[in-house]
Amino acid sequence: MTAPTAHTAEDLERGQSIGGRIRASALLGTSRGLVSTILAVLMITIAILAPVIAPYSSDQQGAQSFLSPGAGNLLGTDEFGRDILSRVIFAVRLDLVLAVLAIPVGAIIGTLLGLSGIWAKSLGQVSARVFDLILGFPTLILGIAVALLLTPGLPAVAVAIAIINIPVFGRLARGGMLAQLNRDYVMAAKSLGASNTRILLKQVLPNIRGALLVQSAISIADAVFIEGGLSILGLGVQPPTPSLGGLVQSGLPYITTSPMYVLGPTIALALIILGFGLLADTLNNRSET
Amino acid sequence: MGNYLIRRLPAMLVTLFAASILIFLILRLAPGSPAATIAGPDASAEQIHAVEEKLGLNAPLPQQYGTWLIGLVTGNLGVSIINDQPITTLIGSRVESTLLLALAATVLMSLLGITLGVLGGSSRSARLRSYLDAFYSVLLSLPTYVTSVLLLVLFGVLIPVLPISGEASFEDGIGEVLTYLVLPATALAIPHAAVIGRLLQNSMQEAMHEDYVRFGIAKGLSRARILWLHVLRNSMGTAIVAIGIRFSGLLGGAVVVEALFSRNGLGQLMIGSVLSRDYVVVQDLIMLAVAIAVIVQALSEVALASMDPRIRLS
Repeated sequence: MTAPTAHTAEDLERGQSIGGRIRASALLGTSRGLVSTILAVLMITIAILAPVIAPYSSDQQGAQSFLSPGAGNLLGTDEFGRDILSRVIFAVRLDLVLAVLAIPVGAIIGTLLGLSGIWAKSLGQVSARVFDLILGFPTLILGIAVALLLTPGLPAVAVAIAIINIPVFGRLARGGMLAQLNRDYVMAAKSLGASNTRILLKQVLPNIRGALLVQSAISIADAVFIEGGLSILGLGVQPPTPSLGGLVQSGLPYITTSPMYVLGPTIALALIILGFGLLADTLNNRSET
Repeated sequence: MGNYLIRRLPAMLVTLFAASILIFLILRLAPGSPAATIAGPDASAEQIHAVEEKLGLNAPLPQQYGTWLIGLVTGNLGVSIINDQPITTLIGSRVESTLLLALAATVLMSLLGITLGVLGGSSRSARLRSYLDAFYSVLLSLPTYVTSVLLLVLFGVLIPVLPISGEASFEDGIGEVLTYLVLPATALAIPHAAVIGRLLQNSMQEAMHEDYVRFGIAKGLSRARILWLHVLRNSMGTAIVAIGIRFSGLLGGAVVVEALFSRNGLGQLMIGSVLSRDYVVVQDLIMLAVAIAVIVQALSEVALASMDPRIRLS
């Protein structure tokens, strides 16, 4: 899942700017773009409208536990008689809210550290080395280390998502900055006496905007991936709060008797990760051509 | 080839050294004292102090790091805080399960990835290539827990032909071992196979436009000879390096796959240690995972160098 990141980072280092506007027609023109846009919009809509579209609240206990899927409960009920579909819908909401709140924290710290080289050369170089080192670690193992430090739970997942985004955005920003600093127009701005901050805001940032957008889509997919992995391992969001990974973990002991309990949240995880991953691919291809 | 490895060694050691410092610092400089968490919320100051004493946590940081590093190099990984067993024993009893899983998954991902890549790369049908490409896009973004759950439901519930939980030891026969290994290894291999397949397909397609291919055609070589002898040989490097790089992701995925298929390997040891806050075990296991990833990646580069005479370490 990190392949697209490396791609954009390399493009930036080769000096290609992948900024530019992305038009609706460009997104919807290919089947991949169409599918990914529909998936992403669908999942965001589910998250926003969760209280409206969910048939029950996430913790409302019905009369019977382990009801088979049927008209009243499309995915059946769980061990406490709660409607599984409603829990999946609220879990989609929780996962996406988590992504939207945690990613910007990591992205801002990472981008600042990545750009820090323009003011303090050695800080930029040291952080670049540390970024490469961290990116070499398996993502989930990093998340596990964070869970160890903070005791397993929702805050640990949020911190893990933020931390993992620091090197990702850091490398992207630094790569983009280094490529831009050699451009004629940046030299020209410099010789006219523009400050470093002005060059960053006026020349560098507009040119890496596209790459940051692509990375944001990848990061959403990654954030949901991390929540899923950590919660399945029992180190993430704890019950009764409904999260997608948490639901998979609670449903696993009943997989042979009520497979929909596990399949429901698994498919939601797959659709979010796939949707945002493909969206990043599409945005990446569009802004390259 | 050996020469290449030796010249690669200093860079590897520097990476490992830096990684060890980073792991140590992350686990030590975190808010809250590890001794307090281990001793529990109701522990008195003396109890916390006793834990600190026992773990050597009251020594200055560089000294603690030095003790750990010397232990790592000399094979003394320390003692578990929870059950006082040497960590080498703990790891030794679990390593076979994880090793088998990783090995089986690597074989599967290489076979599957190279087959798909050659299929797409040698095909003249643009339609087949674009279908394969869409197929790769879907598979490579699926986390291993999704492929695991899908296989669990498919082969554990719909067509219950394979065991979905637990593992067999070699005393039960190699057949049993493999039966328990098929599903978890496949679940682990699928996303990585898609990455390798896509890379190989693209690099074969690129190689098809090289001058030596035109020359081969002009010389009257058969298509099969050009494909297998020239194009594939020149494209395999990409696949081999990709296999090496994917190995680190494979280790991360193995932790989840072990949990989902109830295999009692190193991943489960790590999760158990996180839950019981056994810092030292987790610290050692993360270091082990990073070391294995770095070594495998270097080995894949050596394999590449031995295949491609143009690659020399400058």
